[in-house]
Amino acid sequence: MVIKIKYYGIDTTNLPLTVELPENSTIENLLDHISEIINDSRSSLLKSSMILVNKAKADNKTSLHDKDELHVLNVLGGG
Amino acid sequence: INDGHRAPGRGGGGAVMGSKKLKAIAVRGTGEVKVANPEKVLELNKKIAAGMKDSPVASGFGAYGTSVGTGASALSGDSPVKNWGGVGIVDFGDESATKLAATTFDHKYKTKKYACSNCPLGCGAEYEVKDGRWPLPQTERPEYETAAAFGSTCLCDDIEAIMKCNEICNSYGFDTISAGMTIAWAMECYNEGVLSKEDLDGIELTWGNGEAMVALMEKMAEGTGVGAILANGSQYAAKKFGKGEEYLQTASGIELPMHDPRFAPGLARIYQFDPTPGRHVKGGLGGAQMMGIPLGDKYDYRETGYLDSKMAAGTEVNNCGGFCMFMSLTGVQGMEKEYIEAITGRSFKEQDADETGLRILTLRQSFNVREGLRPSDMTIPSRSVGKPPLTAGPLANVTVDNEMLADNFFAFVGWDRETGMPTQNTLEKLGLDFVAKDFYNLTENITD
Repeated sequence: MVIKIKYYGIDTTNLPLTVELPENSTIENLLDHISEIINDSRSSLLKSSMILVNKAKADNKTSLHDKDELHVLNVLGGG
Repeated sequence: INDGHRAPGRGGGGAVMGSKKLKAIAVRGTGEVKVANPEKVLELNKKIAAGMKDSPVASGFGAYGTSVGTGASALSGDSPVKNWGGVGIVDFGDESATKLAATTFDHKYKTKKYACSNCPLGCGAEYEVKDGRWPLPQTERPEYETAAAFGSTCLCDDIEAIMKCNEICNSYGFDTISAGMTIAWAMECYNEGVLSKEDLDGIELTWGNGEAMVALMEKMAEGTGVGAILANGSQYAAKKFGKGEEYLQTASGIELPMHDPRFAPGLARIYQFDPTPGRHVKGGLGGAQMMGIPLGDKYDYRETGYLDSKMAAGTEVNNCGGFCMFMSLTGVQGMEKEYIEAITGRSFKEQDADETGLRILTLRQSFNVREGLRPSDMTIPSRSVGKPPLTAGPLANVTVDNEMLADNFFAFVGWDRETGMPTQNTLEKLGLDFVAKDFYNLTENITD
């Protein structure tokens, strides 16, 4: 299945905008997959970010489906 | 003005000075600042610098400033949207959120970075807008609060309009939060038919209209027409117009800042009951939730008093010690204590910090009580605590139990929930005997 991803509040260099994953994958699987691709300190930001799936709040255990759209929101309070 | 460009202007300190016809107090030191243990201070400085370098959050702030997160906050629910009545992911949307993120616009305008004195983070930047509707030869990169107040709160994604409003606020001494929120209030009133085009001197204040926002901000700065009313804030304006009170998003009279209690529920207690209400920089449990520090289920309102009071006390020490709140971005908490010990040469452990912070907080509260303020006077707008809750987006169905948060906090800090008055035991325990003497008419065994 193919998942579309948009990132906010994080440097998007080398971050994939679409990811192909096996059926029955979860958000946790997706974030692990992206962390392997980038292999840098942004992994911790990704894993502490708020994730929306099709505009609704989701968590690590949420199952993904083909053509789901994700928002990865790294909320940085302050300023 | 600290470090040449940081102005602690929120809440009307400048207005108080103006009312006394006091323009400025300049302080220039010529003496030496003696440090008890300079080697230790140097060691701590290095620790901070290394922590900042290793922190991806600090790197983001260092590279793009606090507005790096404005887009994410608009979509997550951290930032208010549409005068606190909207849902970012629905009403503002991806495209607008992207336009508000500093990662999108920073490269276009930045001329140089700057930092407060000796700061390894350096979250400031100077911008130049070369052309367009509002050229600005030299201006500041909008902070997160500014970008959110004139941005998502007004449904405006026109960053150059936001920068122009920011410049006007800085030049004329407006707090950007209150100014942006006052315009958001006027926008909702206009869009709901409460204020007419004639009320607004012919300005069509539709949602997201950057041109109208700038026109109104200019009038507020010049004190002309409707600007002379709005320059006094939204609560004043609602009273003056005699309408629009139902759209006010103010806590005890001051416009709310740009972090939503439905996202970080502990903020409800701070916004409503901190002695200076409506502040996002007074720590507490809400401050930690806002920074994303994991502390369990943030929507479980039971037994919040201990952490809320301890973190609020810690923030008082941070503020009064002249430290930056972003020191916590290093991931090392409580370094203030080590600095205070190294600088003063006096022992300052965790218990000392807790007591000192609570003493400061209680003294501030006592001032309000002495001046007649009671907890029942301290208000928070219902939208900000989800009454009624939003029906869509990541914060759908969230209602904050601000009453339980307050009950827990008052019990832990030792203030009477009904009168707000610190108990005699609390005051004496904190060494505030002179306050106890005033409040409890004590005449014996008390030293001033």
